[in-house]
Amino acid sequence: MGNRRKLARWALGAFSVLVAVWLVAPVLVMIPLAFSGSQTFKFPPESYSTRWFSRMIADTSWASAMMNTLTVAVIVVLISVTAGTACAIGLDRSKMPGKGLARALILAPTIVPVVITGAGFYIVALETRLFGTTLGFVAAHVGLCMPFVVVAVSVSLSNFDRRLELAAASLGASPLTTFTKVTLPIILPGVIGGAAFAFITSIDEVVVSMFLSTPLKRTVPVKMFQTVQDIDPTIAAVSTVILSAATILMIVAVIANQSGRRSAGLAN
Amino acid sequence: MLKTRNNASPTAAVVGTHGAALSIRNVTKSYESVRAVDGVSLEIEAGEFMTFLGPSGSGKTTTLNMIAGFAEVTSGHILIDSEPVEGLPPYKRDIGMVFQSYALFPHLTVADNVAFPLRRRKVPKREIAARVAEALEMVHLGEFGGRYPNQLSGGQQQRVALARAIVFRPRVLLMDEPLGALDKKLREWLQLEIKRIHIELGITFVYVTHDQEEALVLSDRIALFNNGKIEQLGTAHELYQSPATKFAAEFLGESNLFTGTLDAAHRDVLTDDQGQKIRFRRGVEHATPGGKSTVVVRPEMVRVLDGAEDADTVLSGRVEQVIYLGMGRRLEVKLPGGQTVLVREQADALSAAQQGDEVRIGWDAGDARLVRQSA
Repeated sequence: MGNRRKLARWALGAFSVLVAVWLVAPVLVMIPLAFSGSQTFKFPPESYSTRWFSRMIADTSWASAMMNTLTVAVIVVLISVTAGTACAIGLDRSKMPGKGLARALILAPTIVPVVITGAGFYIVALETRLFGTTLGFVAAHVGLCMPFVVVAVSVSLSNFDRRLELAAASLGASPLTTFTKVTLPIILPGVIGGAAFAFITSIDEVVVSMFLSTPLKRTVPVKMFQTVQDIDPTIAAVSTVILSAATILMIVAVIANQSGRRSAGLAN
Repeated sequence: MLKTRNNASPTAAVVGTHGAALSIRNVTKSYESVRAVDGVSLEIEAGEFMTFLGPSGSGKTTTLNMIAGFAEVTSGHILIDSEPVEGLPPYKRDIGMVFQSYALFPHLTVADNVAFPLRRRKVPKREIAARVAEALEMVHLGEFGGRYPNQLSGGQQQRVALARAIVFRPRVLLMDEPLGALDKKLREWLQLEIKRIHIELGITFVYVTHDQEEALVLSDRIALFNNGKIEQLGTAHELYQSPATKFAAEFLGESNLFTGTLDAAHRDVLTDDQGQKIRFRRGVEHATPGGKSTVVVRPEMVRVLDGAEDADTVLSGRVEQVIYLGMGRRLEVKLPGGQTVLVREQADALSAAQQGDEVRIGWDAGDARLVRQSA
């Protein structure tokens, strides 16, 4: 009996490790490849070098793709956070009819297949000449990224005690001051978490961006997708950079969320 | 005026504050078809401790929220020191508020919570530190400025909320069931603290509670709310000794009620549903001969009669229960008709009655009061 139990536990452990490897290995394979010394995707690499990082930096088309990606991502985060937070507060407070429909519409981009969204943006871009423009990427990405902010801030707001706003008002704080000094600091973890998700989504977005890209102006994931046929480990180097940035951001988001949960517990 | 305050010693700065008079004139609050507050009028004097007492849903909290500015009046006027405030948003009313849920800002330290209203008023930094220290001292939390609210007990948190609500020297302090979430012992101690602070500050307090004992301990006057109206207004003594309505008699303290018809011939005799004659002398002026009415007798006015002893009203019954209270006894006497009469005996005047005894009970007509059926 004890033995069988031990065996079962061991088997479960082994299975879990297997699943973890299965999920993470494809991502981690890119890191050694980025430091490969040869011109192939041979794994494991026979020799090591940092030449692909040098190539990535030297090749101005990578640099400009990165600049495009970051510029778009930063603008998208700023817009998504501002509009998304306002939106979440509106949905939380408003008593207007059709509130549920409004929420569904705002969150729709997370459910609708991205290819369809991309094709839609393609047609809009045809009409408005937004191909290969920062504005085009920003417009498309905001639609995809803002829902994450709305969801994250909505969760924070559901734990927020609205009597704190009444208290602030009774103490002489105008509605604006109440928002900046009381509401925002308390829901900030949700805002930061939403911003991190929005940033990663924008940096990572390939399908819609592909529809909007031109050879002169594209984002990093699009360029990676279009150059992967060249069998050039530079994309491994680029992946490693993106992976590192994304990991750091996720850690920030998790920490922000935990400290948020702690301060939410304060109220009670 | 402001200058003198700033130059005065820290303690004098707060103590020198004066309360405002509050005038509530025919105020109504309707939510769709429901009238939460229905034509309430009330004059609260500067520096008075006024308690809004009543069951939940009686309109007391809604009235408080209209004074604070959290709810708009549907009709009527609220004046602070003769100035109408209905149009003013809450943050311009200069009224302190203490909530049942404390409502401390969880992301700020105790000191920053207390400094919050001062920062909104652009008080100079140095003065802020002094006034925060003074306010925390007043609630005996001088050492706790650096802590966060979640590191304090419920009673401590409510004291911080109190310090925060008085530090900016509001003209009026509103408190909405501030002790409702605390245990009995803490509640009793904080009642005395609140009373002390009221006397020290001299500002006008409006206190909402459903706890009659709390109202009796704290208040200069009590406004008893029921169904969106003020049922009765008066000192604790007046409300207890001379309840105007059946509701007032039942809500404040224990009472024996006898409902029946007033004698057509004698204005001061009521024949209750069991045919018992109840004599009363108080409230006779409201008597309408032949009408349906209620007579109230407080349990401490009822006594168990000795063999030959007589009283204006005499009833017979059986002692169902005897509870020893230390300062006396509480007897439940069941009448033949099924009604239970409560009798409270002082320790120095105990009768010989024991559980199961058949007894005669009675009281003087001067201790029985006729009350109206409703306000």
